[in-house]
Amino acid sequence: MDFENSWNVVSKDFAIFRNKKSILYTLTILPFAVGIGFTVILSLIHNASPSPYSTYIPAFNGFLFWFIILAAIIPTAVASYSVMGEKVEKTLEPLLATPLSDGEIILGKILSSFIPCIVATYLGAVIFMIGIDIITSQQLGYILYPNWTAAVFLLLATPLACLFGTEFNTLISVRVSDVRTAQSYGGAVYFPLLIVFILGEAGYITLDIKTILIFSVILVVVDIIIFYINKSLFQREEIITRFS
Amino acid sequence: MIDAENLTRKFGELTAVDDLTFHVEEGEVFGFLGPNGAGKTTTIRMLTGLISKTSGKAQIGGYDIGNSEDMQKIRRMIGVLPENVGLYENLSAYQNLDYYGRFYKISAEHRHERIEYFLNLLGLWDQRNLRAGKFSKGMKQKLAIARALIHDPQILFLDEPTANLDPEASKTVRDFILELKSENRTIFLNTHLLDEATRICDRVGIMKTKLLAIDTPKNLSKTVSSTKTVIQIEKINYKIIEAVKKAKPGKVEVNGNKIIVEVVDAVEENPDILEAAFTAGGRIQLVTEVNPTLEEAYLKYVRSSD
Ligand SMILES: Nc1ncnc2c1ncn2[C@@H]1O[C@H](COP(=O)(O)OP(=O)(O)O)[C@@H](O)[C@H]1O
Ligand SMILES: [Mg+2]
Repeated sequence: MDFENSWNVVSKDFAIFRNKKSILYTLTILPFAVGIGFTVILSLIHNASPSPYSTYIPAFNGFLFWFIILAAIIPTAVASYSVMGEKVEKTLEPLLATPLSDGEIILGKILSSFIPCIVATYLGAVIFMIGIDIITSQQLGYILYPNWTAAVFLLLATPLACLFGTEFNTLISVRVSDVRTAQSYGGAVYFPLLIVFILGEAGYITLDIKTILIFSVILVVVDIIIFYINKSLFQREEIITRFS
Repeated sequence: MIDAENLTRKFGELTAVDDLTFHVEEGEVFGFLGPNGAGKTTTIRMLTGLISKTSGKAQIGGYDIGNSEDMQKIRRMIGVLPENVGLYENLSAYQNLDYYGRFYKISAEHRHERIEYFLNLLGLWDQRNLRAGKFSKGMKQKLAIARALIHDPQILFLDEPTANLDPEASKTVRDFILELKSENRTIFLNTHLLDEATRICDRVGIMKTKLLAIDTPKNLSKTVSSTKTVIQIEKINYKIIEAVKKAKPGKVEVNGNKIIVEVVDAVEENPDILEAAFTAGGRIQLVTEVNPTLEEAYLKYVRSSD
């Protein structure tokens, strides 16, 4: 495994994304919209029923959970394009004739979607945390974020969810033949995460550090399983005979 | 340089390539000629390690295509132009080449030199920053050939390099292939264009699932017919025809005012033939030499295999 080769795939994909408006918009507008949007919603709720911010702290976790969901769904826009782009333009055949290995390609493809998606998610989360600190710090008397809960949500569960979204979308993209189909199936990553959120809102589970730790362990297992499925599907013979 | 022995590939029930045995010398331009579906692309894909073989053996530069460690060495020795050019349409010509150059660990400086050299050679340097998607078919094909050459490979595999190109672009590509040959590179070329094969290949293999014949284009042509001398006479008559037939018994045909004579050595035999026609009162308008074409040989082999 030569990481330089994978990184070459990543930087090539970044150069392509830079020219792709739909991807650029997703990666830039979405984090701002979510980060600022959540802050505004919270302050509106607070204005409507002005109970002290300290009673909101559990609800903040629900909002933080949305960044985990966000990290899993942004790759739908990016990963599908990155794999499908290679399929549509039939670029895999000449690529596979170079010394690049199958594993190096798949690692490159996963990273080229994972990196921008996680960066975008973090951008949104940072905006959200700063926003919350601005509106709450005076009343609370301390600065809420960053804290351990946010660290577990964002530094542990979020990248795992992002990897899940990326791998799942890569998997779908390898199987189907156009970006639209890939994205409509790929959007399915949303549901398992949404169910966790709803269970939390309905009171069946509490979205606290402990739950998120368990949730993260599950994600680790799922991520490993999907990685191996990806690897077994991404065989040069398969790719060449199916797509070119 | 390239050795195949009983190379075979099956797709389920279908045998796409059956029992190929051939050898390509270093510095040779070898053409694989065959109709669509003959198994040409499948052969290149096996030789370049893109798909596996079902049975048989093949070696490139002494390395075994079935062995993954050898295959890694082979990949550094070969350049491939696939049937579909497979360029990144959203990247510039320069970026497309640079991306490939990096996989061969060519230094940045050297990469730049080589990209500049090839893009200049192929007349694309001025368009180097243009997206490949904006290129014409001919330009894309040239760019893809440059991509196959970026790491200076000794052996080139070109799958129908002039397919879908206009005559001018085809000529540029063909001339370029000849130039590569002059640099002593070994070139394995798939084509279904007989004229192209005749012009640029040292030897051709005619294939349709199986290898039907393999030789120089000239020798293959001769296996079905021979050189002919065509004499056009102002006013043809029975006496002239008889005189020519007497000079070359059994090898004369008449078509309108043309007498067509099969010859082995035209320079040796023509004077006698023409003298016979002239002495019999024939006023000769034109004398043309017609060489046998690869087309006749090709059609014979391909049809006989049905
Ligand atoms: N991936 C594949 N799966 C099944 N059959 C294939 C595949 N690739 C090629 N074939 C079949 O193998 C035969 C040879 O194809 P190909 O090598 O592409 O021929 P050519 O390049 O000479 O036109 C054809 O009958 C084709 O349909
Ligand atoms: Mg073909």
